[in-house]
Amino acid sequence: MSALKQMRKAGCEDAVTVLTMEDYPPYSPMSLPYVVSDKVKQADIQMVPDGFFDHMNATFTRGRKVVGIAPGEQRVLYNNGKGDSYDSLLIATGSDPFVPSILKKAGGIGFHVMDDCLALIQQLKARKKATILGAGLVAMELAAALKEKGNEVQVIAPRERILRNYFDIEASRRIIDLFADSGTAVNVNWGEATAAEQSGNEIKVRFNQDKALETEILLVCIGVKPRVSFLAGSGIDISEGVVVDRQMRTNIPNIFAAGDAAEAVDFFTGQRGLNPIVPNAVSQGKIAGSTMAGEKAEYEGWLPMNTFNFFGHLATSIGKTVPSKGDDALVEKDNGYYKKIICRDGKLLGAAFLDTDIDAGVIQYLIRKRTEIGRYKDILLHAPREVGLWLMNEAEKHETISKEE
Amino acid sequence: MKTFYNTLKIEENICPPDCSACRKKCGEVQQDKGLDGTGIREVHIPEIDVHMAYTCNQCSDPACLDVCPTGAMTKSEADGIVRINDAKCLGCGLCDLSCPYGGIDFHAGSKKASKCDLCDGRPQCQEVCPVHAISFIKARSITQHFHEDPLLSGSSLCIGCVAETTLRFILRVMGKDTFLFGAPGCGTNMFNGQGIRTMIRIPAHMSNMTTVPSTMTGVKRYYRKMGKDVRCVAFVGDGCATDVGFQPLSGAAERNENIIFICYDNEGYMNTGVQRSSTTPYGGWTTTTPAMGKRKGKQIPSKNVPLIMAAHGIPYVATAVIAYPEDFLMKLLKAKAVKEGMSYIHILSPCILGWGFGIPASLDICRAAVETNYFPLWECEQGEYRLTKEVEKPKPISEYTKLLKKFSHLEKEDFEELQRIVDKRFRHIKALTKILL
Repeated sequence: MSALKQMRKAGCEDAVTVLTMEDYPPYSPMSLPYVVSDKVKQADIQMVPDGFFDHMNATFTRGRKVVGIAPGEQRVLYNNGKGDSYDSLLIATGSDPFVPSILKKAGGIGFHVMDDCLALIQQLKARKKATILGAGLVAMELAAALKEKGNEVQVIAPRERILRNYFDIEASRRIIDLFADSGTAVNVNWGEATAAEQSGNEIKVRFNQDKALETEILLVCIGVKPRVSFLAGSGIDISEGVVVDRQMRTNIPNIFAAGDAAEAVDFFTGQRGLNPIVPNAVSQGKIAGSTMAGEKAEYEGWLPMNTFNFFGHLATSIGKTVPSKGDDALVEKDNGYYKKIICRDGKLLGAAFLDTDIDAGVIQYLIRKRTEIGRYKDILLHAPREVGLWLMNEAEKHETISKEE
Repeated sequence: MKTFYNTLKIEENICPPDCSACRKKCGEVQQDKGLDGTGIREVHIPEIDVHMAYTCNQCSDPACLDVCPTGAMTKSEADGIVRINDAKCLGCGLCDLSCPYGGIDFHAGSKKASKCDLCDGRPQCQEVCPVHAISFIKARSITQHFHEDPLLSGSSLCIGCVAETTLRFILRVMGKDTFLFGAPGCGTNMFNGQGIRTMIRIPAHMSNMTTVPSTMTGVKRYYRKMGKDVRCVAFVGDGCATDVGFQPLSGAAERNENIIFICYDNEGYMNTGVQRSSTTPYGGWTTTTPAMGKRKGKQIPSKNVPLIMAAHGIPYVATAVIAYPEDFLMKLLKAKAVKEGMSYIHILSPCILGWGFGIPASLDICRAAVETNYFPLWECEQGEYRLTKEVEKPKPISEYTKLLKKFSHLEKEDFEELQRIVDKRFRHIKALTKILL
């Protein structure tokens, strides 16, 4: 959707077709936990207003699965045996939840698309006791949503640290405690499930070290992987996801990729990798749209980031939150909050906040613009919202007044 | 030129320490709507003596809108305001995570995001600000006077030069039945274009530097004789207006021809390699007034051409900069309304190449020129002088010169001399405003 909007913004008038294998109007998977918790209705998560595709002069086809691509003939192939030709093609197929077959057989479900969400809502009508395997953002968001809806829910984390892409061990422990306070157990260090069986309404799962559990609903949220299997044999370069450059081009001319399906460069290292989150997918989509419209655009790389609200608490992290050797980590905390920033050579590399008054986007700005914060890092840690805004404002002015000074 | 929208403008660092009037008022307004955030926020950092307020920029390409997973965020084409549809808002906080300017107020407690919606056109915060740091700038006051833009996109002027924006602004205000006149200079690119293409869709005539006013005289008189009311507008540089073509300009003013003569003053012959002109300021570097050894740029003050033009007794004379668009618009409308006699507008137009500054700084330089009284904004209407933007506390001239490389060689005594010239000129124009006719 971002790519389409960007193409039109750039003045490109080419015919555009948007294909989805699902049978729903466009929505974001990140809205789904909010449908479970009843915060919004299913109809309200539609991303674009009615008439959007007409307004964009584009065709939207749903329920159409692409099973292959033939770059030589510039064709996409559908599951109904037909196909279509293209001049340029964007692969933005997103990701699939990873559900091991032993868990799937025992009734374990993933949680990533609308059908998963509707299946869960259906199960909740008859069953109340849910277990979530995994401790990533989807797992934790879903746990909070289920609890808010009045279900009995526990989280089984494979390792000691939860949300480990985003938080250090201390923040992780604090989040676990806050979950416990609201009556949701987060059990850590359970490792992988080794066996599972279903009998009636009960699902039994066994883990290493004689750990086992019984539950009515088993949600498997241990990760996602790019939805790229249909590209096998197409000649498109795939590592974990579709390998793209800073213009979102693949190795095949006129084929582009963006979002969860793409393996783009990391902001800090310039190395390719996956980071399947909405803000990065949106900015990659915009770059792809610009490139496809013939404009020059360069992706500056993805940053891990998240903002997670649960039971009235807010945990936010942007960039690096565990220091490497030579990084400067500053922490300020008490019982009610936790603040941490990581700097190096006077620049901000990352920050994590728990129950702190901040403007997360401003912190992201300071990281992305590599703003000089050296002299102000202590007061930035102390009053991140105020000092962040002021540093951002100064950086913006500096950019407009004179780069030569 | 895209559509303009109304906007809040916040002066920096004049907030009283510990004041939170704007946020409190905004909080009340939001509460009435059932929200518990605020759209504006004061920032006090006592450690570094910073006291100011921040709000949403109502961006033209908002990052918050791009990331919103449910399309709850919208930007209205009618008023430009970015709003949150509360029924669709998940309270996920992605907008807050993506806005680089701190425009979103996100509350984990209530799981709601809120932001400034300019109170749908009547911002309450500006009314309660005790020091008038917040003002509501209304774009409609400008855009309602706009006609179709006769300039196409893409000129070969230097990137960041305000001459193009200035001419666009002028022509949009002047509207149809306008004839444009020019002479060799940077502006040539906009009249003649490059190669076989031009970017202008109205009649435009290039003459010699010495014949612009007389050519305009002929065209205007012809159409008047034919019974047609057309506007003849000149857009020429200072080389043409104040040096080479000054005699015919003065002649046309003396004859009081019904033409609108606009000079974009970049203080030198910038198109031919940055030579000094009679409007090059005291101390200013050019290739013919170099700064090396004992030579420190131009050693005599510039010629005060708008004052000389006013002395001709023509109906309307004004100075203007594009950085004050309301002021500029008002002056163009007055010039346009003159049906008997001549109008002259003198515009300061910073030159990236000849003055030495970074590309995006033109407007800051225009503002600094006004705020230091280096280029006071005034008008003389039927002999009556008036300052149209009187600066309350003029900044020292160094606040202007520091932005420009052409003054970088100046030393303390040179600044003092330049300050003396600026002060003297300002006293002169100020005294003129007190003359009762």
